[in-house]
Amino acid sequence: MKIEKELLEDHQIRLHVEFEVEPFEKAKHLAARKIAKKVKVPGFRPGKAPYNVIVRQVGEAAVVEEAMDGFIDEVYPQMLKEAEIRPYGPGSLEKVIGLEPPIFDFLVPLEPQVELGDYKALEIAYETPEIGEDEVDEQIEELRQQQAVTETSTEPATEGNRVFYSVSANRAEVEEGQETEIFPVRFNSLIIEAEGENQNQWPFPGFSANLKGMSIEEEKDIIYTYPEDHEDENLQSVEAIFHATVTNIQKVSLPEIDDEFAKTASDFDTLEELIADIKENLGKQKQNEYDSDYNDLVLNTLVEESTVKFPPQMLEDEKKDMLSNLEYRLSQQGINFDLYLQIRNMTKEDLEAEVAPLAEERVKRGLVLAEVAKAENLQIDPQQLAAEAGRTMEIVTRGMSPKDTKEFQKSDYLSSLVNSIMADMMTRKSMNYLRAVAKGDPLPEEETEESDTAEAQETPEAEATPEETLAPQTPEEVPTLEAEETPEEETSASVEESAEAETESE
Amino acid sequence: MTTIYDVLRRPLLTEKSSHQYVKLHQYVFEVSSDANKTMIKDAVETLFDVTVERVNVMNMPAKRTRRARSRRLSVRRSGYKKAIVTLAAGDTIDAFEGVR
Repeated sequence: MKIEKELLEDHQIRLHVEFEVEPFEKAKHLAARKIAKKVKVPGFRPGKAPYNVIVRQVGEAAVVEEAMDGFIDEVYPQMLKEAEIRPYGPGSLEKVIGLEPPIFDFLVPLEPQVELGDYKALEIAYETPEIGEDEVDEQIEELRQQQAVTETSTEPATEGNRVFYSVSANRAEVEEGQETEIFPVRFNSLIIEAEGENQNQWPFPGFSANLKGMSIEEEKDIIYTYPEDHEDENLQSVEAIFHATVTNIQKVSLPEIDDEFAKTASDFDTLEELIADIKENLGKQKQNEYDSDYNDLVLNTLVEESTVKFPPQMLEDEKKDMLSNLEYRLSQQGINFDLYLQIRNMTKEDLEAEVAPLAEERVKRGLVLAEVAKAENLQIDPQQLAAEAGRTMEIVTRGMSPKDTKEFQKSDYLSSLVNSIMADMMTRKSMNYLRAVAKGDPLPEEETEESDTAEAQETPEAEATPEETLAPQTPEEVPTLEAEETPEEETSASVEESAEAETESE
Repeated sequence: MTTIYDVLRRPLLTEKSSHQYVKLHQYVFEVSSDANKTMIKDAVETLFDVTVERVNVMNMPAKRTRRARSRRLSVRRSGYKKAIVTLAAGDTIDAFEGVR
């Protein structure tokens, strides 16, 4: 076997391989046997015709074609070994150059290569986000609006009233080929506010000011020119006449902000407690947001510093993954994928082009994270995995009959579920590690190691090798997995059970 | 008048005949019905440039068979004369390439 390698730009390799004749001949004979079973040759029972007869009957090309598959299957791994290549995925036969002797060109995507940047030196300032007073006020104001008491009023509308109205719009000047109507009569309601305060009014910002002073059943024409930079191109700089009719006016009285308000609006007794709670929730929310932003930042910085090489197939896989994900989400909303494309007025190719940069980023990030995990020798604690898997199982199988549950545990879906949980945990762990490095915190590894040993003392199963526990590919191993659930897990399960029982009794 | 070129009609390629030429060095032909052993021997020797050791001939009987589509109609297939030619060791006929 003679191999010439040629490295391509897109992280693939072209192998120019010349094989010995003999194995190929063998493959051809094998192929002829196969063909003989399918082809009827007069004078021979099926499968009994000799090689020459077959070649004469179906032609050399057909035999070669049939032989090619088997032959390549056989020699491919050997070839990779000799060429010393670590492929990412299945290669493809690019060209058949000759058959005597067989010379083929293969295109093999290479395993992704990641050269990590100096992730240990990664340092990004971490700021704990602060909550401003006005944000709390906003929340309280929202609560007030929810608790507001409304009352129909017969007086002309004033500031703070909720006005129900119908409105239609026409163009002031109609040019040829345009429709007069911008939109037909629609119904809406809004609260009249001090001028210029709220930009989110419909049909145009500042509309509420025009309704001030109107009483029920009063009609009014309002002239308004759309701004030059309006979203809808057709409406830019268009002068429009809005014909508005007030249908109802409601007085809105907002509750005072005091302990009483706190009692009705929430479970708390005093206003202070309510504010504290709002603050806490806001804090948590902000913290979460900031955390994920921070994670992104850390990872992106690292990705930028690292060199990542991967074959185009990987990108394709990721794209496919993303699209199928999207399709699944759409189907959950009851939208057909084709319909979605129609709505967005694009073809599948367009969509693929759209997700391409995203997919690339995701591939890079995933690779970098995996590389960090490898470099740091991060591993998943089997105990944790078992707990996590058990928890997921609990959620998934809830509401299934015992029989269904058993069947489910035997399905292939389970192993893929466990795999995805594993991948998830791995990502999280690597991310936490990176985060800790960037923040300059003590490394989280040490903690887990401690807990590892602690758990190991509690349960001897923890000593099982990761492979054994981590890969419950076969259904037989599933029960073991469940049996290993930690006490903590059991309690959470029982809590869920009792919660379920409660809902049932209701 | 039949010449040696008219004697051999076609090689018979069946499971049985291929066994015969692989193992027994015998080649099977359909021959003209008025050919005799000598004519066959001459024909094979000149056409394929080999030495013939022995020739066996037999008349294959005509057979009734049914037409492929309709069950009723039976068709008669004509019989033919078959010759089994044994060659000297080392000689071969590349029957698959046809007559040279």
